[in-house]
Amino acid sequence: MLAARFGVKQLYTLRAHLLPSSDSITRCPIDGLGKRSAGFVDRDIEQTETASAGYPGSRDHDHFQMGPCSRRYDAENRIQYVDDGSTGFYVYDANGSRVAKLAGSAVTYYVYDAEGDVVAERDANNNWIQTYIRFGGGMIGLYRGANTGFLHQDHLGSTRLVTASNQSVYDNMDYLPYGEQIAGSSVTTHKFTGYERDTESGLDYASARHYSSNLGRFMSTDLLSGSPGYPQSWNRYSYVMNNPLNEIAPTGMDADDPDCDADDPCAGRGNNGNPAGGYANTDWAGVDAFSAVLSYNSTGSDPSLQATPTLSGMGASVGKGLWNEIIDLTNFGNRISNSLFSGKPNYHQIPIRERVLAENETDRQIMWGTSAFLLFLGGEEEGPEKGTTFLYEKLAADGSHLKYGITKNPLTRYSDSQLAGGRLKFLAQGDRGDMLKLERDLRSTLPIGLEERQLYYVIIEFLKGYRVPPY
Amino acid sequence: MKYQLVLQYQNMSFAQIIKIEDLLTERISSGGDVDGHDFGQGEGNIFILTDNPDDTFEEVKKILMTNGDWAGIRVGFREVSENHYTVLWPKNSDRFTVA
Repeated sequence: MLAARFGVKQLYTLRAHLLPSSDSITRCPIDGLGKRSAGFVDRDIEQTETASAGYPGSRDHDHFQMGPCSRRYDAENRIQYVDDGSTGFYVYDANGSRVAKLAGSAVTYYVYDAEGDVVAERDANNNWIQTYIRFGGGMIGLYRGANTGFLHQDHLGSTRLVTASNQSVYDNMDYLPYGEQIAGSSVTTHKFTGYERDTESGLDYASARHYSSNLGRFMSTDLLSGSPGYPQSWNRYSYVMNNPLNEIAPTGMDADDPDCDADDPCAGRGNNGNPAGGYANTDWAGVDAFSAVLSYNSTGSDPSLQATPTLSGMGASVGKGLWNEIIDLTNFGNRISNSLFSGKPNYHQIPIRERVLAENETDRQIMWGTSAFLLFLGGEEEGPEKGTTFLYEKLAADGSHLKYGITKNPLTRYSDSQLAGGRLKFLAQGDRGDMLKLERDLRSTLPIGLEERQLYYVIIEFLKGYRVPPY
Repeated sequence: MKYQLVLQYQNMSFAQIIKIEDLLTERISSGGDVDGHDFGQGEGNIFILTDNPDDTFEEVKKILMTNGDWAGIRVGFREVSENHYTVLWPKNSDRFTVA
């Protein structure tokens, strides 16, 4: 993978980046209003910008010429025609989602799920083109004909690697900070931060707007207004307040709050506020993607009994005792039966993502994924000897609290029918005594009656000696 | 361990469940490994992993009867990869569930 270094100034605004090919610094000056004025890779666009002809920022772009194509916008400020329709024509539904695209003579119909994410594409004859697999707000795989590809993203959700079911690498992509692709090809059209890149225009479809990775800005104004106290937000074309290394705008609506970023998403906001998850939330923030490869043998049915998996690339090894929980990707929260391991190839190599700890997590956890499952590995950096007991909360299918418990073997604690669509939420890991203490503390926070027998034992304890919970 | 043996109480406090779990952790010797507990939804469960649920059950029974903690208990086991529980106690019961 190519390496590039980026300079970031105060307030996390990108200042310059070092291109790996030329090994020379290309500066991206950002003015006080968030306008990126140089540093473009595409010479045609740079020249167009220099000429200041219809540059987005003037708001005068109802028919805008940039580089090799022109675009025409509809009444709601969305791109409708590219080169008067000869290159591209887009159709939107009442919610503003792009439901069809005509690129040359190729027609693509998009199928959306209930959350507004594209899940499939069909052609003009309603033939299936490809289907996307989504998890946690991100796209993890695609089915295309007889081929299946697995998408591996970085902390921004940009597709960096596409692998096949036989562990071979389809594509290995790399980007400059604003999304210009500098390595890899086009096995998937979903590239920078997961945006779909239109080959006909070179723009990224970002739901509410189109984004130009070459220009480093959106092609129409933000539907959200900026903040008077934050000048970077006054430019309604700018991309994530020119902080592309840390922030994303999944819906195409930008943040006006400099405190909203991938590490601290702003709940309820149109872009980074993605409470349902996604690659830019805490779970994936700070990911050092593909920093290691995990290899293991899966000849047995129980992963906890299998050969010790080893990590390469991080100078570490993972003990077999770390196999804690298997989460079904397609039905997050459900354990996968151990039998899923049976019959699988004996040797897997899986990219590792290091999961950033939440505030209440005391141990290091590694999260990594493959085509069929994610494994959560627990344990401190020092080794698996410490922290052999897990404190968990059993949640119902609707996410409500059921009970607390502790276990040394979360993989086998409940059967699928006992989970009944719910899941185990792991709260802490450590010595049993510490976990018991934490569990008592947690129970003291439960309102009387939430656990059916709590009132019973409150009465018993009361009769014994007027003790107040926790017991 | 191939089987999960579950000891279930429905009228016992959290403190009592932990006390019994501690007792079993200290006393069990028939190849059983006390895995932990859960508590809520009207029941407290103590989980024991074992390769021989019948032997472990007999040993647990002795320990708890001696200690006076056998009353009201329900016991079942399942293979860790299966859903279905086999009821061991009460003997006339044919249904065992974990909430």
